Amino acid sequence: MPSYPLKALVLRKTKLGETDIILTLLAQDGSQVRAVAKGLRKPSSRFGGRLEPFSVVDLLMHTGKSLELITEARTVTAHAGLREDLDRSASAAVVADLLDKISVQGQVEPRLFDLSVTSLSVFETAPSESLPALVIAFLLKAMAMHGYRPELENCAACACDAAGSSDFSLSHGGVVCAECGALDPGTLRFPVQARAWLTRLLGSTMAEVAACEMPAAAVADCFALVRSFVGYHLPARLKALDYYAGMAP
Amino acid sequence: MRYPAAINRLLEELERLPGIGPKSAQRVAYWLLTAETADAERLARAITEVKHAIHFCPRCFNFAEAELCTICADPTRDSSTICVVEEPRDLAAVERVAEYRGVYHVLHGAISPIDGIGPDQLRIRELIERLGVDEVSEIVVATNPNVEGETTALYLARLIKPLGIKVTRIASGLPVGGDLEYADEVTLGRALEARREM
Ligand SMILES: [Zn+2]
Ligand SMILES: [Zn+2]
Repeated sequence: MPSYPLKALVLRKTKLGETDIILTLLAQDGSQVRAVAKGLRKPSSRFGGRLEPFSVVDLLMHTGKSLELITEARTVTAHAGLREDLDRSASAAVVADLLDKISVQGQVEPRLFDLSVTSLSVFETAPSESLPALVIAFLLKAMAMHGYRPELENCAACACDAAGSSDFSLSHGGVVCAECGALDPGTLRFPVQARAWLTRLLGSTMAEVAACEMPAAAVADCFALVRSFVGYHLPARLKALDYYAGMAP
Repeated sequence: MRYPAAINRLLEELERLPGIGPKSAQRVAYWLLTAETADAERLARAITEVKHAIHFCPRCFNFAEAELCTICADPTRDSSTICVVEEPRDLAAVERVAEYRGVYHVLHGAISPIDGIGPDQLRIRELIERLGVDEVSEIVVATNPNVEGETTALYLARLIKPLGIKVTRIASGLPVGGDLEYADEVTLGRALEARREM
């Protein structure tokens, strides 16, 4: 199979030699692909601006000796609006960073591609105030697809009814009752109202999240919790998430 | 084939250079071994000298041999216009055009959240400090037209415009000599946006 088509989302670019770039891509089947785009750093590159991060592209791939080569690229969705606004591009960088860390070569998860492309399209046009809620929702949904869905109803340790509890255990992966919370020194405080928002974000589409007008206090509580949750379960740091947290007004 | 220890040491050092693999390292080493002693010593001296003599200009962070770089030290340059670039190499590229008479500021990188590079890792604070010292009327942002360069440009505009200083961005559009039909949507869109009256 020397040449084959591939639809993919561009996650990041890494310099290779003088003018080449290695692209990290999320393929349509949800697996990660790394491929070389020759001469991409030259202004005269035939790829032009098609292979910038956050773009969805139709590629023609060629299996090279060691790495895959990109021989042609056609834009499906450029998501140019994400690169023209500081808050939108910082939000999109969180998406790209998480995908870079959780997607694996040869490991298929088609829902991840659809979620990511939909999220980026919503990030591009949603009201700026809704971006933090959208980032939280994306992280939650992508982590759930990756096998880490926080338990938000019953105690994640003893399965009792944890309705009134404001304890969240990272090691148990969800809310815990007061008794179990007291046993775990790493228990985080997570207010019941914020928990209701997290449940709502998990059950909403990205377009619904963009319109949900989440209160600032709930955004702050949920963001802090989801950031800890992601940090606890992923082996690598999400630098884009640290950056995003640092630029909050 | 096994080389004497001194040659292996040389090969090891050469292979650490950018763009030099084992093959090229052997070629360079062979040249050095067969060259006149004076040639090899001149190269060694040039390397040592550049490391001792060159530092970053404390004003613009370009390479400098004297206290200030040659551009900052030149009284004919217009210090009210600062062109902001990512790397000294970009400064050299703008200088080759020979049309720009202002001064520069080298950031030494661009904002890249995914790589953990934020404004604090760049020479942005120093740029803002310059605005308080010199009479600056325009900042020309000449960072790369890619996602990192654009993010940096947006960040600088957000930071500097409230100070009442004009912030401009170099135009991005079609490469001269190219055919329109091969242009991608993003580049062509930018070119249309930046069209000018004739
Ligand atoms: Zn319990
Ligand atoms: Zn200087």
